[in-house]
Amino acid sequence: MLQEERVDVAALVAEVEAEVARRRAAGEYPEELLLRLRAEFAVEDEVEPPEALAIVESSRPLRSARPVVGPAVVFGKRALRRLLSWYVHPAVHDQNRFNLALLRELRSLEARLDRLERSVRDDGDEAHG
Amino acid sequence: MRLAFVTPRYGAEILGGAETQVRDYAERLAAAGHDVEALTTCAVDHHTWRNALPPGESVATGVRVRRFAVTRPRDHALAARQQPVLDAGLCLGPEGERAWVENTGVSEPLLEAIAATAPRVDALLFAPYLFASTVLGAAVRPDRSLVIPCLHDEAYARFAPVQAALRGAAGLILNTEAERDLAARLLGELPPNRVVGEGFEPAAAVDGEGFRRRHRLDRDALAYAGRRERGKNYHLVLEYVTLYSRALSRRGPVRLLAMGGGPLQPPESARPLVCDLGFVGHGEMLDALAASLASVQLSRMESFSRVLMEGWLAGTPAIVDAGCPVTREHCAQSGGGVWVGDAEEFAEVVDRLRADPELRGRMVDAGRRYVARRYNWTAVLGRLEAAVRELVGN
Repeated sequence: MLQEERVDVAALVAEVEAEVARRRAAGEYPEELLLRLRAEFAVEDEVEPPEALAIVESSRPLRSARPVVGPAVVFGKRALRRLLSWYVHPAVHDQNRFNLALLRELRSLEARLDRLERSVRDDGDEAHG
Repeated sequence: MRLAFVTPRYGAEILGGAETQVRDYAERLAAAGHDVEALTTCAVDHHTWRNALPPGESVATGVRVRRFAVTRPRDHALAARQQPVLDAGLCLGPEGERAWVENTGVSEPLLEAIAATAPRVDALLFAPYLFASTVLGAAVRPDRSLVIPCLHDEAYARFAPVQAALRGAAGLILNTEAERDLAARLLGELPPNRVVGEGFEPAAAVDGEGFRRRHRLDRDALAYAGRRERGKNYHLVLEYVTLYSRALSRRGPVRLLAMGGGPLQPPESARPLVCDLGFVGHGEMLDALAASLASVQLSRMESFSRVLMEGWLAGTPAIVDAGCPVTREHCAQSGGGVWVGDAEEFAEVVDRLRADPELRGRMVDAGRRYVARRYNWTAVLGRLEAAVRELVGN
């Protein structure tokens, strides 16, 4: 029968973690290169503040890349936009009101959280001081 | 015993962990002399729920299969509205959750068949946890219903109708202790339950060297087998392999043998490192695993993880994510794999495996022993039969 040789994975993981910590502390990792490579895998769009996205525009610039018929296509799109504006504009207006109301609430919650965190920190400092 | 499995999709052409598990269970139980049938829909694609197969009855590897048409077509507009809400980590609300479930291939004839079948079988076994066939089906005769949830820690597992179905079932059949812990976290007090797991045959002959020759593989490789999507953390596999090969390795770059399909494409810097094998047969997958230094499975959405077992049987250790309780449990208990928390730890592990073939060999042996001891079919069938008998009170 084969000798069952146990592999202590937890010990191996601890060794790996310790070696990584040592190398990190010693500055052995090429941080700039890692940063550049990691950026390629960051799939999220650059985060813009929500204020920049809160107002939804209902009219976008109208273009057509088609040669010759391009101006006619743009004219058609413009006419269609005007025909639908009675429906689109109120919906966009409601959406903007909602976005701004949500943003106001968010910022007010953020301010409350800041105040609370500051007060907890101050209390802690007093207790230690 | 007389048993009926209920699953939204059934057949050899269906790829998916839970579906494979149900088919394996059904076929093995039938071969062991039980009277087994499978109730399912005509759909093969869980994105469209289109009726792709004809309704009716057939026999597949000893299992009587009855298919019923999906009667509520997929509302794609609803799905398109709901998915961003879930992706943003928000709740759908009770009505929305109900609508989500009812948008996953509801088949009224299937629900009627469940009601008609329940009195003449010892148990109805439902899998996986999130689709209408389980959520609505297990509510038809909860006293006869056992759910094999194949649970993941995801938004759907928090839906009220889903949790009601799991809590109301006569019992749960779970894959691992870690899945039981997750179920307890999500549901609170659990209904009666047993841990069974999946079964595997002893390792077939694999040809890692032949694979390396066929694919002109001239350096060490790591293997990934599974769906190539963010939910399975495939992007992390690409990132770790790239960072290792381009910046962290002390022993040169490696290749990534990528098997399976999915929407995620490697970014520019990863492309030369990826050997894209696409969908491969089971034998080719085992050969690729055998040709690899390790199989990399960083998914956190696992209730069992077949690919770890297949890797060990093919002769390759595993590298898993430290944040996945299921794969970590397998590695800790077997000694056949290591968990990592970031790219630097991943690099350290890969370097060690490359530098120390003896360590790699011991890990493979440990993994093989683990599968042979816990997940051989005799043991799994014994646990499954006992679980069904005990949970439905026979």
